[in-house]
Amino acid sequence: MNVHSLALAIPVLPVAAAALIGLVRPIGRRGGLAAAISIAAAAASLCCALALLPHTSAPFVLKLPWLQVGGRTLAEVGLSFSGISGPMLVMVGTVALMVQIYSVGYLSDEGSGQRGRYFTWQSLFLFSMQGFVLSPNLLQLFCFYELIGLCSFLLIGYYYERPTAGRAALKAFWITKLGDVGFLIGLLVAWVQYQSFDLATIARTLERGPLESGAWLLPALLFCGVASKSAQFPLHVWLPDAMEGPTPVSALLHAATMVAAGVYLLVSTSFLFVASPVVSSVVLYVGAFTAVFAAIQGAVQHDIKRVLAYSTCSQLGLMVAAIGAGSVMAGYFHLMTHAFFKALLFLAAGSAIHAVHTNDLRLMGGLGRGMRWTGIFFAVGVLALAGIPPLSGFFSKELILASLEEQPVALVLVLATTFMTPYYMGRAFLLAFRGEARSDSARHPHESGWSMRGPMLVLALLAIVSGNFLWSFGRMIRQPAELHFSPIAYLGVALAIAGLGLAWVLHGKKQPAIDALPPAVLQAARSSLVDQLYVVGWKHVLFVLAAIVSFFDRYIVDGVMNLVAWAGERAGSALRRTQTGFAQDYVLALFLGLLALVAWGVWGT
Amino acid sequence: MDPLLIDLSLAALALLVFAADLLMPSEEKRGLGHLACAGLVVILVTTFVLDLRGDAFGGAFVLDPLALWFKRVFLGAGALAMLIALDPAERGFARRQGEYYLLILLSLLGMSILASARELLLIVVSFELMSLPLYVLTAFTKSDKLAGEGALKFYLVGATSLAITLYGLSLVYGATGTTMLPEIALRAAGTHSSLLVLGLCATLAGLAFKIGAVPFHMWVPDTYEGAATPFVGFLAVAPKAAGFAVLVRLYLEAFVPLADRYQPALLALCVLTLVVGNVLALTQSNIKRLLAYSGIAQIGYMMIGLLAQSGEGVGMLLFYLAAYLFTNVGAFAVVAAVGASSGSDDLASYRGLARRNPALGLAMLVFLLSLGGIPFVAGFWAKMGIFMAAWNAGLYWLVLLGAGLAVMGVYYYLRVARSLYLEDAAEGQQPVVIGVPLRLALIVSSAGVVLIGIWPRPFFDSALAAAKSFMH
Amino acid sequence: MPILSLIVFTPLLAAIVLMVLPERSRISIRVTSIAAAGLSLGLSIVALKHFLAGDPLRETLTLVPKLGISYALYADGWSSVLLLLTGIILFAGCWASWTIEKREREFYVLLLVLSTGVFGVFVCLDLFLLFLFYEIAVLPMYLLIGIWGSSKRIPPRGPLARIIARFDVGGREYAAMKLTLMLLGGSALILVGILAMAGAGGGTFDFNMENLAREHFPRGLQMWAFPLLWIGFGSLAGVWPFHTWSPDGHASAPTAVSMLHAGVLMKLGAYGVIRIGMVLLPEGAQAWAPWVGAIAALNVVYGALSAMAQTDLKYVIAYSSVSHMGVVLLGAATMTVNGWNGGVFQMFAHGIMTGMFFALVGLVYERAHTRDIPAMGGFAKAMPGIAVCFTLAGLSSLGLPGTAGFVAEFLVFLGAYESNHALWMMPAVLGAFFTAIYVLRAARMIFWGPPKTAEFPHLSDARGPEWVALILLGAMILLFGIWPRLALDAIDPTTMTFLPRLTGLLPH
Repeated sequence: MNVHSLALAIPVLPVAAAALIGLVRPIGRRGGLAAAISIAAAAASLCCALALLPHTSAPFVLKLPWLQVGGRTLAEVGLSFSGISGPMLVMVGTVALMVQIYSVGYLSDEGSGQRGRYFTWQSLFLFSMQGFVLSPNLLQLFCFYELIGLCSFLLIGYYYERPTAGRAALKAFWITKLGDVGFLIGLLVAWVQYQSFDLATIARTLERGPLESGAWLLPALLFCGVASKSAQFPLHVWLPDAMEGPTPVSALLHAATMVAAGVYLLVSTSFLFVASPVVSSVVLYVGAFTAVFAAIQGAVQHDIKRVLAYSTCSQLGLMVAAIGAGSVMAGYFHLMTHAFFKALLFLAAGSAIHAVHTNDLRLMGGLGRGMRWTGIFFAVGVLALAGIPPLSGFFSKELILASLEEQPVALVLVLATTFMTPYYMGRAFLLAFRGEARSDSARHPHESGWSMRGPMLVLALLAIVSGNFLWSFGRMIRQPAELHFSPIAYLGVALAIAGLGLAWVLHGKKQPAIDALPPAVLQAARSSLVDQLYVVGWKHVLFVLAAIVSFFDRYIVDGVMNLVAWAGERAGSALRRTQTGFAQDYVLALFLGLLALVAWGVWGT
Repeated sequence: MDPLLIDLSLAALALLVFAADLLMPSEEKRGLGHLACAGLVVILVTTFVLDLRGDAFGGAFVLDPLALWFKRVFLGAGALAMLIALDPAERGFARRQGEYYLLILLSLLGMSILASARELLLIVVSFELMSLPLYVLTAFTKSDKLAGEGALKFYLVGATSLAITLYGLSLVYGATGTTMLPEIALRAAGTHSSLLVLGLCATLAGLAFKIGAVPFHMWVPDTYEGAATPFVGFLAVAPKAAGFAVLVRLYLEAFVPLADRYQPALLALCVLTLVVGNVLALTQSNIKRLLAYSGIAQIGYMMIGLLAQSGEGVGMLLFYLAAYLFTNVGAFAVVAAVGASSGSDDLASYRGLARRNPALGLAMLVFLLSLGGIPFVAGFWAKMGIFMAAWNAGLYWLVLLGAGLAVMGVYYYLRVARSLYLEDAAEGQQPVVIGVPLRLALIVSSAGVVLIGIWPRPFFDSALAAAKSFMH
Repeated sequence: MPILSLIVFTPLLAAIVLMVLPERSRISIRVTSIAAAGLSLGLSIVALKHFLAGDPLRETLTLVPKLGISYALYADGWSSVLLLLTGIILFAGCWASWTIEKREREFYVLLLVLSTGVFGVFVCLDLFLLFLFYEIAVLPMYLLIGIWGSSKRIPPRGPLARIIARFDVGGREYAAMKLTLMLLGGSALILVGILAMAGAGGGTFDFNMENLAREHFPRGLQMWAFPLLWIGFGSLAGVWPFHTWSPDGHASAPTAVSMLHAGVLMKLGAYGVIRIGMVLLPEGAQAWAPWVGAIAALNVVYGALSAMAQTDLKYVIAYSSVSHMGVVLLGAATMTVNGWNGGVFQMFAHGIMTGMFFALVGLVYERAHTRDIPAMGGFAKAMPGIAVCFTLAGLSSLGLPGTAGFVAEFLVFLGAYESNHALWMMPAVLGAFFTAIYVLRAARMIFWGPPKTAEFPHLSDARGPEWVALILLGAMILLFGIWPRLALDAIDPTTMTFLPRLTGLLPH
């Protein structure tokens, strides 16, 4: 099998599986069979990705014209495999596969047809993501970007009979779509500025020399798309609500696909950002701010999944900030390591939720006794995320801190994040797995089966060791990868340990306090001001406007039409009065008419 | 052949009917109708078979293609009117039906001569010969009070307008000193005497009454409503055509040199007629009045053909008349049938007609579409042709106005179509049954409408040819 | 073999056959109509193939030389794509009206006659015949809506509800009359415009589009004739403010009629504006382009916002048509290759999409007996198939990549941004975003959440014949979304033949 067909197989296998499950009813109705097909496809696609990994040194592009306009090719569709896409393919494939295997156990008590639907979307999701990663040009990137949004919409709304699920799904779709509007306009700008959507072509044009004007426009617009998908402030509001989906879905969304897509877009178009410092610094500060902002929010949540959601948000902030600071390496590598331990954390949380049937930390506690494995996995995740050496998180965090050395303000923000992250993760772990059980269901939790533990184990191992892939990773994406243990790095580790210590001090007791922060902070953090703004814009601006327009349409525009008809009738009945029925009037009219004619004829002209 | 043949044979037919009427026993008078109708058809056929073109009385009487076309219209209208009248006449005035047919024939004779007249006196005389029987016929159903009233109005206003016409023509004679139309044209060329202008304006007023142009239209609805429906079908087509025949002869031959003087007046009449006719038709609830006003509007469209001042214009006018003949007579035939069965001409009595008598409903729909100027029926081509002629004559805004008003027209025709098809029959309304002659009339007229609608080409060609022979 | 004539007149022949078929044999009536529709569809595919193969079909025959009228059919790229659209929608429509009971035969007769008109307009080269076909396409609507339409509407709400009621707004006879009159008013303007061009030679008429395209009309004539055609045809394309027949008309029309009317007839209007107005009157088009574009942009946003405020499902879809037709005309107004390709492609994409929508609305209405969105809810459990199809159509209408709608809208946006009025792109993009809001919101309220009433869970999903329409249309949406060249390769060359006439006059 040559590399081309390997690359082709990566997205094609999952979409084939999706078609098979989705369109062939008998398969779709059998949940088990559907799962088997979907997982097999995912596994095969992962194998292809792995088999392709050694060839990153020889990047290649396959494409054929997709839109022919004015006799020339407007846009192409194709696959581009390179050092950038290689590792991403493997990471996405791995996490997706693990999540799908895990889902078999997690959804075991779902209806069979429902599971068919679930795995259809899962496979479609994998297809969209891999297609996105392999896209050679902006247009195709956009197409798959939108498809990713669609798939997460479908999966978040998996429990479609819950009203909250529907709302959350639509919120996610609309807000990411809002960002994509920017991306779409970006496409138009790209065409007008560079006469091409092809990334390579655009890069070459830029190398030949910067545009005389408006070079900032394209990256700025692209960043709108990034910010919405990767939940950067102020477009982050959909992410916490997205918890309505099944937990494995959250794991996929938060680790490997939806939010990762944004960062990957940033990575693959980084050369555009380099070309305009202004946008880069915007990216930097948006990222840094999001990191802290989300970290604060994460520290006050009661819902374990929301804690994880905000931590994702904040970690994405770190990646974005790093790339904004110019270090693609740091951001991208953090995307990798984060994927593994964040997926692990979600799956572990999911297994806890599966056992306790609640997301609420206040009703958990002491689960570590009943579910030792899950507890350990979660702990590994926490340590990795906290950036404790030698776990993977340490490496990527170190890179990020190093990348920010010339950016004092951002650096301070990020350091604050590195302190808070261990705190709230530690808090979540302690509240869930240590101390006394705080509800009956939490008293006797039973460990989940191997179908769920297996994937967690794999991810846990990856979360521990993946940091050591740093150098090979650096070779692949052709960037210098060295850890220079600068003071800031030590500071970061110290802060992480301090954060964990703080968590232990505040929440380590048998009867831990749920919220240790001062009430004022809680108030401020929980009042979701940004959400309020969206609601205002939605209810009091958009729909009022719509009401006004439709009123105008019905009563003014249409009213005029009706008025004309009505006026015609009135005129008719008015003229009717001239028809008196008296012969003398008729004769009179006759003479008047005659006079008029004569007057006109004789003196008229 | 003798150019007078048609008119002579018409006269002969009239005398024949008259004599037969005296001799025949009163219960067989129905035969007279058959006789008259058959006679008319025969004459109509001869006009196609024999080549009668030529003139008589030193050019005072001419049978050119133009006249021939008009005569055919008259004969067709007459024959159809006879067919439609047979049954009602039998029912209404069995004893007097002989006179009814006789009067129609006489009126036809008048029209037929009028169409050929190129001399003022002949015009006046034949004009009277046409008009007087019409007054009588309007009042023919003596028992009906409405009929009497309508006839009276018709007569009073008609007489006045005749006086005006005569006055106008006398002025024309006074100004030009001749009664031959070609002569008048020659003499008028030089003069700009306002006497002559006064004359032709007065004449215009008189003729405008005959064709029922606004503001000389007021007799139309009352007369239609009052008179017996089978006769209205005739009244609504033949005399109007005759009026146009005179208009064409006088204004496009005799008075051509003064075109720029009477054109504005004619234009004003035309626009008034179009607007008022359409607007008034909007609110009518009585089908006969509705058709009366819509007929006024149709006259407005025909006047556009005059305004074009071109051979094409006249040709399209002729075509319009042919289409109008089939359409309008047909429509009134349906009205007659429905009126006979339901005893009322109210729109309400047309509810669900399509269900009660599908054929009749469909026929009515066809006629309505044709009146509305919808493609694939005669009326569309008629309006189309008129507009094209007007366009070539540079009357762009008039075309726009006409097209716009045509849409308004569709509205009130659709109102009838709606009660035919969309509304359900009120209980107590029986299926409408119609006799053989009426059915024949309906078949002929709807066939004509559809035929012209689908293959208008021969009609266009001959109409244009007829016009070309007249205007050079 | 005169393929084009066959495409055009097969439905008519079928209609005549139906007339003689016995009223009672409902199967044979349906089969005949479906067969005719299928034949036209198949032949229109053949026509498309012919064009792509480089030998477009053409048929000619002189009718009334005195008036310069001839029977000339020609299938260029645009025509053949639109023929295909018509064929698909007609075929699907015949299947979708499987459940018609009332006076079924007349229904199919009128439906087929109407589609003859539509086919005719798309292939006719002779303006006069085109006008006749146009009338055939428009007029049967009156009876189709008046007889088979639904007056079962949501009672007017709001402060002026009484006035609304006075005009019987939304009633089927009101809707039918309004639609007919507004469209006839339009065709009156069209007639004048056509006469203006055909009579420009002076004295004689020539209605052949190809000859007229060679003529160069005086600027004055172009300046006033173009707006006539724009408003005339535009009134059928739903150009603001002449769109108000559309919501009422489409809401009260029966399923298949809404499908054909929104799916195909509105395209006649747009086709007329571009193919006749712009191509034959380039200077006029150039001069008026800013207006056309501005109004079209208004259409997009205005229609979307109105749709957002509707509670009657059919009104939502109808207003979305108003919005999407705005995209078509916006593309046309850009006077760019992308814009025109996008515009024509949008005609196709929107036709399929809205046809599918109306088919689905019909199915939902038959089951739930309401069109009031707030009264529905939780249908997804009972009718998953319908739910999926509805979502698919919705995604196409909001321009999601992978569906035909995306290609069309993207090309139009691109054209708008390239054009002299780059800012036209903004309202268009905004409209697409609003579409995402109202379509998915409606989908959620209808299909998601817990069932509103006790009987909702027991409603049935689409079955048997109903699936045919849905599957056909859904497949088309995906097919042309994934591989747009199927249509674009036919559209583009034709655009390239027409557009230079206009861009030759562009300032830059």
